[in-house]
Amino acid sequence: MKYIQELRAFIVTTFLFGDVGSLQDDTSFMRGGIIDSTGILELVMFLETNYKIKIENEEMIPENLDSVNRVAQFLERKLEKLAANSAPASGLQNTVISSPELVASNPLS
Amino acid sequence: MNTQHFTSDMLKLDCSNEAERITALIREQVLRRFKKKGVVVALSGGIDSSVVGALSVRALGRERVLGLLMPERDSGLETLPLSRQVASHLGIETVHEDITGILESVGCYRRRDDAIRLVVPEYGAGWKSKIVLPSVLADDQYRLFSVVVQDPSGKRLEVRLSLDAYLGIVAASNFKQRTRKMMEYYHADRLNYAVTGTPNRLEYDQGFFVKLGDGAADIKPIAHLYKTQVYQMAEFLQLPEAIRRRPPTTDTYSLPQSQEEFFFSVPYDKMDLILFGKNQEVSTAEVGRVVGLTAEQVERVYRDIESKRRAAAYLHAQPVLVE
Repeated sequence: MKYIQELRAFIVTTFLFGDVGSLQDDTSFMRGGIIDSTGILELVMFLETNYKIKIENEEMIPENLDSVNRVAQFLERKLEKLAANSAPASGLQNTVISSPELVASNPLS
Repeated sequence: MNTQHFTSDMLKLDCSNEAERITALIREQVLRRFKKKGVVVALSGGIDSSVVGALSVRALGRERVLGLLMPERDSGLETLPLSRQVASHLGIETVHEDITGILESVGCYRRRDDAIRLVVPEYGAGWKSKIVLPSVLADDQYRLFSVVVQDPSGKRLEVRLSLDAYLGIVAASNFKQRTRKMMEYYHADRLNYAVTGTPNRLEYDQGFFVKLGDGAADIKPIAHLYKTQVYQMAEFLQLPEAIRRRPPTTDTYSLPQSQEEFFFSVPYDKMDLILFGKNQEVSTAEVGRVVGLTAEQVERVYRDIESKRRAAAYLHAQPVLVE
């Protein structure tokens, strides 16, 4: 896989402080105690910043992010899709929850 | 796997016996082991601190219990009145220490707002906020914090937090719990008292506290009780109904924030049973049957419990010494 070496290097440097130890490319980050919930955020930030992609909330699942192999495969899919769509990244994901105007205009409120 | 029949009654507490056991331990530890004259209890108007206050009075007598009332700018409007109500009911002396000034001095609000502005640049005066987690029940998605902001017109926006923003908001907010603990130990030192902690079992187990903030104490009388058991104890101790009916809250952010949306994701009565089931190695299907969730959902909560325990290990850890 194309990005596997640089992803492995990032994981080893950032979370293992240069000590590869027993890390394999299919080692589960969570079960292996390599990355905690804050670490996932760090991994997401690395991927978004380095590869100019936007990872949606529904994509933040172990299937996509829980091992070097899975991250590499997920990244390849994202970049292929991006290249195919040629759409720019949409930036931070914002959701408008409510506004007084919407509430006031709702006949049910 | 535990095959004993699992029911919602399994957390039913013999409050009389348990109150006796806890009060005996408080007397033994505070008076004889620590050789302190009494205890300080930080009263938030919530059920946990109220029960700790009541048990402390039962153990030591009201003249040996000091209630500290420590609201700040973002505290709920009901916090101070409810705290006073508990103190009055218990007949204990109180000291009101509004910590807003201290928090302003150390830049708590400014640092938190600066962190929010990393993801919501327009956040400013008149805005309110809280941080929330997606539910663990819905799917296998990693649960990452978002900030909910409300502008002065009332319009709300939810934005996923970057790493820097998340860490910055939490670090700044933690000033509140650490400042309160600083005040508790000041009063404890001047009175030669011990300091109580007020976590319940769910909070203690899952790391729902700030290291060296509300996580610090000399004695934690209810850390072994599930939240539902704390409510049973509150009724047994005849605490005011307003206290017993108040929904659990973090009372930390300027927007009202439940403990569910901030941390636990599941109402405390279900969370208690799920935690109990996990501790007793009950199958997810059996627990799900009792709490009204699918086995898959209970499995997600089981995994979340494990994940939080891993994080909580650092919060609980004593300093490491080089021998």
